[in-house]
Amino acid sequence: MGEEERRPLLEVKGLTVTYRSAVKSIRALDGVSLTVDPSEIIAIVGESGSGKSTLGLSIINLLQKPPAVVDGGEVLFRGRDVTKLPEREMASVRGTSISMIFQDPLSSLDPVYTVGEQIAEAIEMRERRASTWNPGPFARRDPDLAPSGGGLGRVVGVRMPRGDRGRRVPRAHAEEVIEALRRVQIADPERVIDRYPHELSGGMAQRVMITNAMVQRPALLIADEPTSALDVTTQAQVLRLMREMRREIGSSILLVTHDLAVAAQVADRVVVMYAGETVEVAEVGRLFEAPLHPYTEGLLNSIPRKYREEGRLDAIPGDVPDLRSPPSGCRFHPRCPHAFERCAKERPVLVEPEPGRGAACFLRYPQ
Amino acid sequence: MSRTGDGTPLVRRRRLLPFDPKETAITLRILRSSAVTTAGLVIVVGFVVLAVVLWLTNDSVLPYSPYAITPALLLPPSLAHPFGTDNLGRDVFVRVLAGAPYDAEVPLAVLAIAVTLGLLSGTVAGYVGGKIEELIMRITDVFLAFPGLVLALAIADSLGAGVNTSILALAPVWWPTYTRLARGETLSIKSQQYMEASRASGQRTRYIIFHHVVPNIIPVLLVYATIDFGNIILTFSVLSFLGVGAQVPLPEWGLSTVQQEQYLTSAPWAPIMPGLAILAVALGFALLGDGLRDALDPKTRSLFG
Amino acid sequence: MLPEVSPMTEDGSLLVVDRLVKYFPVHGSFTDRFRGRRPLHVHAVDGVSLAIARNETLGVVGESGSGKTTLGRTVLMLEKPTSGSMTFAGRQISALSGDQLRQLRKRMQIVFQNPYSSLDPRARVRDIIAEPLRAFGSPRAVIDEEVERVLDAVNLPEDSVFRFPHEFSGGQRQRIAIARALVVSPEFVVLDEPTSALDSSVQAQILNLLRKIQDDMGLSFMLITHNVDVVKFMAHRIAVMYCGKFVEVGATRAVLESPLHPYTSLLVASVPRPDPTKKVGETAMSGEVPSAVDPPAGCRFNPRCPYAQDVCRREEPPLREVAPGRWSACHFAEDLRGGPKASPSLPAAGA
Repeated sequence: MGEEERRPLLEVKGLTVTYRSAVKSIRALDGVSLTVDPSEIIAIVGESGSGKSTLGLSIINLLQKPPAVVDGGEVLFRGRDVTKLPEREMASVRGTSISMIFQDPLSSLDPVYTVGEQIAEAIEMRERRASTWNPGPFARRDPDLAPSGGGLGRVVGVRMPRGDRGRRVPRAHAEEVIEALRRVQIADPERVIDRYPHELSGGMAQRVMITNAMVQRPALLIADEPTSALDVTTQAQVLRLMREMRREIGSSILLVTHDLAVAAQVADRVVVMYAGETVEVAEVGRLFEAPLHPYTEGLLNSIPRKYREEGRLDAIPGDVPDLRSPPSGCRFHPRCPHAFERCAKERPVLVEPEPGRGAACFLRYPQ
Repeated sequence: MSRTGDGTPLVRRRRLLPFDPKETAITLRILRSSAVTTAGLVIVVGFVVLAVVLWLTNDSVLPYSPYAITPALLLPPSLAHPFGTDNLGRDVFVRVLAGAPYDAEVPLAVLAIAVTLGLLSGTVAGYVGGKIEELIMRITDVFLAFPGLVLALAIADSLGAGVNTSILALAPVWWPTYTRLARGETLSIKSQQYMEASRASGQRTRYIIFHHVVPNIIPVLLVYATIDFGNIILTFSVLSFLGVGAQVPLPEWGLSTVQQEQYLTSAPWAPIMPGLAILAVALGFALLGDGLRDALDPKTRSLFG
Repeated sequence: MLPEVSPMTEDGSLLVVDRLVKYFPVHGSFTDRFRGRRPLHVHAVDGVSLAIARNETLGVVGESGSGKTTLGRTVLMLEKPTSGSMTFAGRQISALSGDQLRQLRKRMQIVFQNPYSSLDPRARVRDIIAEPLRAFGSPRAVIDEEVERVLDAVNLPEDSVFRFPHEFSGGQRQRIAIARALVVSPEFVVLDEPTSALDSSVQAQILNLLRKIQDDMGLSFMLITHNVDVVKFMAHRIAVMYCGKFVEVGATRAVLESPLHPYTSLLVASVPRPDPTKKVGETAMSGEVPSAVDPPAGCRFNPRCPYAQDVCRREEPPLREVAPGRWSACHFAEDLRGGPKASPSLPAAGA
């Protein structure tokens, strides 16, 4: 095991991100820390306002820089702080080393290019960076990439009629595209490569997105609510797909979700966030067996697991706090059934008695 | 049930504005944040205040009369006459100021007619659809087919020249644009869920149009109208320029410009100052309208409160 | 043929729907007519029958493309049915229009899915909630009292009435929407995915609230949702919907614990459990929901069904009572009793 593999892939240390505008200031992330090892799947679980999406965007450095400001902390990817990288270097990190997929696949795919063309483009970018670019016998040496409409012949590099301005894709790449689509269980990939994004169902589009991201073999894939817009049956397939992707390609996955059950399906470790802070971290089995933080417990109880005749749910009272004026002390205290005096005055810090397991709560860890 | 001392339920207690004053405050904040839109706001407010004051006091606050002919012909700008005098000895600065009420009244009246008519016809067309929509939109298309100025000239010509007939001549030119706009906005709102909720509550179409559609599309129409204000001033000035708008001796800016045109080389202040007034006010409205349009964008608004 | 009235009440059914069909035309090109091509339709609801008793919640569960939302809206006559009939409290409602239809709105209401778009952003809460009463010309004093009453029922503070929707959180907005539905004291409310747009912690509050309101006010609910956990907690009976039709109907626990239709099994097996040892998605079932414009011949689920036989591809199975109170639209429903794995009589697909 080399030095590379022993060091964590990603280390977030005390990250603080604020959205600033003329009249107000919102602390979306307040001193958040976490680590991701190679080939590990981490779930970031939180509701609206927890800062989970901001966290994902910060890692890949896609925050809108005003109004967002990184007020403190660092994000170390393979030892380099990505929040401080100049845009050009960051652009080369994105896609190849860190990739991201979003909730709505249809707005992430360009509607004017076919599925095959978009995946092939991702493959090409990977090859270029690896300097093993081999255009193949049929491709024109044209630095201007301008694919035009579909057609099976185009993608497999068959000679096209004269006068056509399109670019041809090398046969090897086309075959890889088809194989990649087959691996995400898209039936009939030879036909799908000529389809446009709007012709696909939500589930297929999301699988195309995953293919697009995985084809570049990123070390880290950030998935922001990838299954929230999907039907439950499709979601089950996509979650299984993500488990397999980790096995086959070895990428680490940072899964951002509001659904604890989804986290249970894929994650090795879970980080629970509330109102911009980390409130609990645990290995997935332990989190569900014995949650430490009252918020985690409340969240677990909110999943309606009872039948009608079994009585009411244990709901967490109140609402998610307004980040413009968050509660003093522990941000969860107004809704916590176990809150006592200290909770309103001091902010609890995340205490990890064993590495990777802990909570930010005075009840558990009097500190 | 919480009741106040006299037994009326709490919900009844307060008199309320039909709009949210906090939202108005946010709009103002956004406008003031940019130098350009602030300039527009200042010009527009100044112009409106000036027009109102002069209209109310019937020009009596002015140091000189805008109409009295004096022997002080074509004097260059000086302390006594900041913009000089024109070919009939009238103070140009005073004439420019006195022109404001006309160039305020006409666009305001035209827009009042156009926006009201457009709102009514557009929302009905968009909401009800079907043959009624076809009918309304095709009539609109007929009006839109005429080049605006030509149509206005034709109507003004048959009605006779003058400020009031100008209003009647310009309104038909502007109304169809607002119909189109209102219909488009109505169509996009129609699919909003609160519209369906209203139907599910048993409300009649008439109520839905007036209580839900109109309040939600008025902001867009008002922004458009603000930008249009300048355009109408320009067109009215052109009508006056061509002789069918304001008539002599009114100090309306377009008329003044043409009346003094021959002195462009000898006494340029006489025609240029009224022309600059048109420019300044049209620009002010355009800047303000542009700023208002940005202020409507929910993303911008969320940054300001 | 109608599913049996719930054995839980004796009042008889409040709402009876018989073979309801709702098609939406698909607009082709103008010249299609001349070329002899028949117009296409989206078969959103393709023959649904049901009965809901007083104080009962019927859960309609389905995924996208199942037609469940259209069903909810058509039952309320927000869409005109293409064919089929509906009876509410003994009265025929499917042919109503105009003023008579508006009167119906006092008794049948709806809560929409999205609390961000179902409230007019420019109206104050007081006007939003009062609107259904205003539609019927209730006097001012009555309106004010009713508004206070429903605010209290949904646990919103009284001064909410003066504010605008954007000042409230998602959960609070949904309470406003519920208050609006309740202000006319209806007997029947369609809940269209009432908690799907809300955070999980708030979802539980709203579900508890809906249960309480139902008990206090004696309402019937048609709960439309894709979330199996929600319907488990809320519904007395479940109807599973696929591609415009009911494929299984029965008491909640029975349907979820021993499904009698392969789609129900797939649905139940796909729900992620908050238990890392139980992974979903391991079964081989895949495929997408079929097109509602051109549904598959025979049983609509056959392209995805691991047990599909020849008869499944040829004949559409009727929704029939397989056991007392248990309805299923599967040729082999009896063989599925005891769980799909324990069915030695069903050969593998393709036989």
